[in-house]
Amino acid sequence: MRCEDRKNNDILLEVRNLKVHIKLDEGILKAVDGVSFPIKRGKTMGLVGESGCGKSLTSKAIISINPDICQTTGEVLFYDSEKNEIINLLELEKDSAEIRDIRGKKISMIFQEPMTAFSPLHTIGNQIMENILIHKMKNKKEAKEVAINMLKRVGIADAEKRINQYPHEFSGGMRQRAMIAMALSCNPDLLIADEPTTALDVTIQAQVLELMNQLQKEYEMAILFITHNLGVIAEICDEVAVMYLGEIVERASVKELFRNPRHPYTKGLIKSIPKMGRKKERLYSIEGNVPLPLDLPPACHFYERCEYRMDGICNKQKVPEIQLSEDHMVKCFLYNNYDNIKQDNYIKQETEAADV
Amino acid sequence: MSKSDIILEIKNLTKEFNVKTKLFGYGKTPTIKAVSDISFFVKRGETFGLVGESGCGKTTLGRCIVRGIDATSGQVMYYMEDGTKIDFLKAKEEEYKDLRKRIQMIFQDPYSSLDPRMTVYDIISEPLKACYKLSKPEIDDRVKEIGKATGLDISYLKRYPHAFSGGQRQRIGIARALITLPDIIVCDEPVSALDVSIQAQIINILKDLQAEYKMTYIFIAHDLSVVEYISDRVAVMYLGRIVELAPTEKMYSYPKHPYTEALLSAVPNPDPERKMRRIILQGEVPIPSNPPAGCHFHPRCPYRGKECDSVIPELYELEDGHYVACHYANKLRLSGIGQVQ
Repeated sequence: MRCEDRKNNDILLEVRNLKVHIKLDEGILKAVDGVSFPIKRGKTMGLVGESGCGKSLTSKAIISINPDICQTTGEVLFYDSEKNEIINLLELEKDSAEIRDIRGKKISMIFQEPMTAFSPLHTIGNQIMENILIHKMKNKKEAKEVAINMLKRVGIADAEKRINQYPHEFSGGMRQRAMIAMALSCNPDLLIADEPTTALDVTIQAQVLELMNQLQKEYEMAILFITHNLGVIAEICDEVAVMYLGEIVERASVKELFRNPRHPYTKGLIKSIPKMGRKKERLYSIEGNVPLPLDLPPACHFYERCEYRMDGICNKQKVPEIQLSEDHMVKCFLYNNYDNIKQDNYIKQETEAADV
Repeated sequence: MSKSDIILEIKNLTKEFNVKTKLFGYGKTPTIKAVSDISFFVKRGETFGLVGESGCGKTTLGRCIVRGIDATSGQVMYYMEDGTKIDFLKAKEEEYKDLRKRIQMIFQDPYSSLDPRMTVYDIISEPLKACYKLSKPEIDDRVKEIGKATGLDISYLKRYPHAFSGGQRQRIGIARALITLPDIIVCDEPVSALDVSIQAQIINILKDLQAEYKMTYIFIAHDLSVVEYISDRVAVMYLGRIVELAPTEKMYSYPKHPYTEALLSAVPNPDPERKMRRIILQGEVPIPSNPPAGCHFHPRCPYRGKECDSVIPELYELEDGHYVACHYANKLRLSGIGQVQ
């Protein structure tokens, strides 16, 4: 697609065929293997998957902060509204002035561990101001005012005093708020949130999610939300991509994904979480464990654990990406012949049965 | 309810930790009441859920019950099958050894709770060697039986824990607790470190084992949907106290304590089309060394009234089997989760 075509549409960032490979003594670990998805302006894209599926590496690859051992290929096309051009972020030299101009200013990130993501040696205020001073203004006094306003905006009481405190004086929820304040201080177009509420208690998690929802509307930014919690996904996202062993196995709008999950893995995940207020039947469980993504064959990685597996097809051939509808993609042989309605109906009925 | 239904009765259990702040112990040393004056009973064969946010004292309570740490005061009464009762916390020598076999524990972190220098076989058989005098073949048989029951691959028992995945390690932890055929297992967040697909496997195993070996579980967790799924009765803790205790369905459908209501509404619902009314609590859990006066929950409570900041509400039985510690419990109309059949 040429640049001109995309300038006016609503896609802010597009990841295309992203691969993150890590060379180990045992072989090449394909942590992320050919991931593609768009992020729409002002919308929230969710990446969900179990530990080790490559969701964090994907998000970090977007702003090139993975360690050097990771070999990253593919394209990350970012539409820069200021310069009105499309930049491939992966082509920029690591730690060059160009990428640093984008990182923290147009794309910023919040991390899972609010305990370790701040430097313990500097005050919260200085850490927030650092970002503002680099990207926005040179005047320290003004920067401090912006920082105080941001802290107030994320709901930290007594911000004038709090700004001079160190991270250890903040509680977990407060630190995550301060982290959000820092990330939003330069009004980014995209916020990458890597499991931002996983370390928090439910009541605090509810506070932080509510805050992120509010701020998203106010700042009109897009969010890439990474989590393993399907409940949080349902709560905050517009679109979801489900990852398994370095690949996106299913991508759909959030309603579609929960109403009509198609990939056996997605279905298994949704069925295996206990839901409150439902009849207590035996929990569905996906058998086996997630294998190590070392030297995987170019076939379906879920084959061993899949209850619909077809010997000779799923474990032998490369799995096609099938577009079921405009906003629903699934990577599974079951839908290869979409004419094969019988199979599909069978699965649909079963999904409905599981829902009731 | 007759006394014989009860297997464990906890009476006025309190655990205080001393925190030294000044050098050489000068000055006042503040105490943290991690568990304060908790009383409840556990019925034979049931799963008793304990929920609460971090720092509410649920783990401390669990550890006090198995005597992993010594409680400051209180009793943990264990009822034998013949009706006699023993205070586990004061049990000596023989009695203690006997009760130790009957009360076991499963830990949260499957990575740090297994000794990396022992083979899985040694880990599982150790409680057996400590409690019984059995011959080698007898131990062998028992380990294999329990190993099979928990879904472990018997041929891997000579390996070390590092060779196993998180889910497998948790099975080892369960096998270790199960090997003495206990009556009660205290499960301290047994699934919270696991991935969703593995979590379901472990929950199913725990349920199967309970049916097979007729055990009682005290299930500690912070995940309300898991607790709802597995428990018969649930107690909600806040800052070292039980604020509500009821049969699971009652608690989740008709909560009586404002904190329970807020907790239930805060759980992200994995169904984008069924959004609940959300109560966003203000502020955070206070520090237990300096809890608010009166009802500990009052600074965050949307329904607080006059006496809430001065009088500590007692836990009392509001309806049959439904205990609550709130001054306004019988006046408030709180919303729970909608029942969908």
